[in-house]
Amino acid sequence: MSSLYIARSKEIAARVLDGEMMIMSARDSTLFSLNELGTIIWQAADGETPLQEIVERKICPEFDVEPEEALRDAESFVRELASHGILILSDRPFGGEGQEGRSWSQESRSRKQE
Amino acid sequence: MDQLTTSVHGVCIEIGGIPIVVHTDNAAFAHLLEDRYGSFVLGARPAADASSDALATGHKGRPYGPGATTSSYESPFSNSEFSVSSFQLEVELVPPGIVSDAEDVRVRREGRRWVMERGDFRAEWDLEHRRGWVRQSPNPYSIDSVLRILHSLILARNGGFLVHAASAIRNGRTFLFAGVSGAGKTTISRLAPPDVTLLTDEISYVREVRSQKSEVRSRNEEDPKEATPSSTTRIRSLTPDTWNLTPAYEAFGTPFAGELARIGENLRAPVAALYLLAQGRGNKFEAVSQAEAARALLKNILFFAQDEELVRLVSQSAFDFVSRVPVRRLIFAPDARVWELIA
Amino acid sequence: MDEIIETRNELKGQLFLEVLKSFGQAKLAVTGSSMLSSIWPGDILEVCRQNAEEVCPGEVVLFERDGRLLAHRVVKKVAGPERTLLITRGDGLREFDSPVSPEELLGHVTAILRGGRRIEPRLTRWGRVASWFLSRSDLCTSLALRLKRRR
Repeated sequence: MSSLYIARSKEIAARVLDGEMMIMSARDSTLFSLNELGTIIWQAADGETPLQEIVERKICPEFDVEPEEALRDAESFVRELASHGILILSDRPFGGEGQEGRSWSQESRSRKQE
Repeated sequence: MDQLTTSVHGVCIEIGGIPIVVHTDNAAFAHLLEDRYGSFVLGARPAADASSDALATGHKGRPYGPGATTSSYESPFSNSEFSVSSFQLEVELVPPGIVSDAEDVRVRREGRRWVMERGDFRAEWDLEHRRGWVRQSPNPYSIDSVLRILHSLILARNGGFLVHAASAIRNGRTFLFAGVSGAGKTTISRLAPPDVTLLTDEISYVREVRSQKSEVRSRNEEDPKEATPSSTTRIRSLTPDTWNLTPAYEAFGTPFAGELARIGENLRAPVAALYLLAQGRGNKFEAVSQAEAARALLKNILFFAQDEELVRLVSQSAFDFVSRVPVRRLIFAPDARVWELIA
Repeated sequence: MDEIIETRNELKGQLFLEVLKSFGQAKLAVTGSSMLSSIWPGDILEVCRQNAEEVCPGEVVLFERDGRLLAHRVVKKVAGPERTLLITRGDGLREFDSPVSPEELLGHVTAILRGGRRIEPRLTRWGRVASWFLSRSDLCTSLALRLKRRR
């Protein structure tokens, strides 16, 4: 099982509004509203904790799901968020500063309007 | 204060409490600006006095110079937090003709500079140093477009935005009406009774109240971990009572005329509420969630450039706005009785 | 701000429609902002009569609604058995208008007059405007639907 680390991007605006986690991707102007599970993952995305651990510790105890299935779903979820520049993925901990908001697995963000 | 320019005329146009001094050598163009911007001009620099002292900050940042000016209007905003020399725009007039090959307006950031161009103008602006220039022929439309874009860029850094919404002042407070084309912004504006002062039926100018700014900024950087859905730390809209004591946002009149084709009045008032217009039978309010309010607001905010920092800043302002200003849906049958609900 | 054409002066609006009907072409001044950033207040639009069938997506068309004149861009054509409907939206707006019927359609914009210059409106704007759209997405629905809380 590959180890996947996730970190919140800085290229976003985020806010909890009336209990809903709202995130605007500054990169492509897509607005997201995360449900409870999505929010758990988002808040745990500190760049240090492997996704697997997040799933095991925060999701499985609370929800009726097998760890492998939950991890699969969580992985596709974080990849979706990463494709919009909201989360950054890495195969190792981010460790300290320097995260400029670039997706690890994305092609370089050279697309500029016009 | 440093002398930025040797231009003879400096016309200070203040919108939203943000003064931009437009410098030009051409007296006719300076007069054109004064005519066009009317009560939004803080007082033209007299042609006879080209020294920078004429623009020195007088009372609380308002400019004054020796000799009578063509418009003796003074800023009603005695607490203008920007000194009047804050924003400087130099105009380079060229003969009529093609200035840029961009047909539609193009606004993009190049490092610290913003570059704006359209067939009839080219402009550059340094947001950090608050100065820039525009190259255009002597006409009012180019400078008007540049000013709109500049204000939206400056507002983004000051917790504000331009939004497709009508705004009207009643009892000293502003009500904003947002809605799709045809939902009734112009209609509700036309139906307003005499005690209502219309700011615009078109594009509203909204800014965070400055004194609240530091408090808001710290909230912007709030730790997402703390903001759990089930936590008790929620940011609720202020009720009208508490709201009156600590206004969060203000709306301003602008000279950018709407369909009703009146130059807006140079007024400002705290925002009491944002109403999302929907046509239906009867006139009544419906609750909307803050999330829905944020979506609706973001759909109506003007973006002149798809720039990441801009989107981020303005989205944050939109989130802040809906968490601090009441937002409701206003169902209205197009008749004047809807105004009985608005107070 | 629903309309971008000056209709405050009813007489001018009427005159415009008469000229358009008689000569097939007329000009009108813009005051609204629904077509930012392609068309700005102060621009003058040159309008030529056209049928819905001849209109191409990407063009800006003029139509009458609720006694007002609107000029918005055609995003799509919906060809019905008897008539063609046009789906339009102002470039500066993010919501579509309700479909424009052939009876409402007055013509298409052939040029924008601005600062002494004649500009032909570009056809392809869809991609750029679309990128400014906001979409709502409830992610994690697959997780949410299947999972129930223990206890």
